[in-house]
Amino acid sequence: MLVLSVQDLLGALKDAIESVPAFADVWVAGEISSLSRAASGHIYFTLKDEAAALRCAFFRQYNRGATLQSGDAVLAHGRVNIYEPRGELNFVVDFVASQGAGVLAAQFERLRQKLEAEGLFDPARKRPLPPFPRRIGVVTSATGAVWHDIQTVIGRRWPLAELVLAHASVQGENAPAEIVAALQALNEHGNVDVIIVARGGGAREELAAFDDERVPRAIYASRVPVISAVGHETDITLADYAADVRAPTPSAAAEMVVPDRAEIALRVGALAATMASYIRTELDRRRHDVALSSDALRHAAPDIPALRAGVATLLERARTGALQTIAGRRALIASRELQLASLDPAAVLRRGYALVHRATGEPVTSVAAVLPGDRLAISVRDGTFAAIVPHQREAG
Amino acid sequence: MTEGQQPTFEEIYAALEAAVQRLETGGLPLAEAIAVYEEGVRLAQQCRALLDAAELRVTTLAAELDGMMLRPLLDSEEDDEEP
Repeated sequence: MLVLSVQDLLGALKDAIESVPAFADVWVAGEISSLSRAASGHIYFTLKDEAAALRCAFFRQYNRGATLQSGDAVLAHGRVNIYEPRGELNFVVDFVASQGAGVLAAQFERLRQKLEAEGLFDPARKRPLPPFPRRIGVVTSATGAVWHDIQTVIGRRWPLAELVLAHASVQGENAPAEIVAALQALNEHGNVDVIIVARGGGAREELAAFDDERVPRAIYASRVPVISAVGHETDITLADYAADVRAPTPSAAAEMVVPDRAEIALRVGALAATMASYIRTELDRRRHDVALSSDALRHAAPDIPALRAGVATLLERARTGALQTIAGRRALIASRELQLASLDPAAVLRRGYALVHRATGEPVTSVAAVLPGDRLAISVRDGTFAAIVPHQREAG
Repeated sequence: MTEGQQPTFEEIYAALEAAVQRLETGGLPLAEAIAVYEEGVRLAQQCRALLDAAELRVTTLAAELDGMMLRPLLDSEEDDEEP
């Protein structure tokens, strides 16, 4: 017979039970009773139904001041625990939800809080989508309208890009694992600039794969920015929370991920026109500057014709003045000539007068100047004859 | 982004915007302004050419990975790089 110590037995039980995955991550539905709150902040209660009861510990780090009351019908999530010192089985609770909303909603809320607390939804961590992606990875099913729609939209808007499909089931048991594998493959081998994770509309249960804990974790772990488009516009899955951008539909995601070719072409045209206008302005400005300078030059230059005219005028005046002066002189000379002519001794002689002079030519103008016997010359109109002064002075 | 291979549309478009910006800022000597303008015109033409000629290429990762796996079997030397 095998004999075990108490601790060995309990230890074995603990190992056996706690190693069962289902017991480590399980939802239990029951009614709360015997609720107590310790000063430490921990909450203790019993979960029961009509045939069984389970002692629960809802520690402070999980319960965050949850308002629970005895009588509440709840879904409690947690793990089974064996407390060896007292040989007790209890349930360590990490999340409690009202039964009303159902276990899917409870699970969603539990994970949402858990991942948020880990920082997977941090807005500061959201990365911007590249404006001109060259290769776009797509995680969706190869069959179905979503992949077709994405190809259509991107083919129309931005055919410069390359689309790379990493097929994954978007529903069913294997879907979460396939989605995770597709994301990892695109990150490691896809050489893509952005990833679209997409699934078309459906009932909330059909979107369950995108609420599986593994999918938001894989999206957060992606080095490449991820845009998610899962279900209808009003469906928000955990994948959507973790993504860098959320689109309401897969077609909307395709539109958000690439620019519009026609719009960019217009912008290129506008830039070209702007450049042309600037260069035209520059040239006009330079031309205008040159025109201003040449105008200034023109005004500063001497007015040659005017100067020439001025010189001509001066010359004319000088000429006229000179001519006048010459004429004046001539007139003066003429009158002097007349004067001279009237004073000409020959003219006096021609009038009948005689000039008495010595042989030397020296004129005799006074009686006192002559002595009897002097030889004199007398010039008259038509010549000169000699004369001697007689010894007797004849009357004078 | 490496310019070692062909420049991407994004790089060409950014260069075009930069050229326009330089002309807008002004203050360039005329010869340089004309050079920037001519370069801008060339860049705009390149953009238009890329936009007009583009055809969407679609592939699956599985096919690409197969290609990657097959290449070392087909080639004699080990020269494959990430596509």
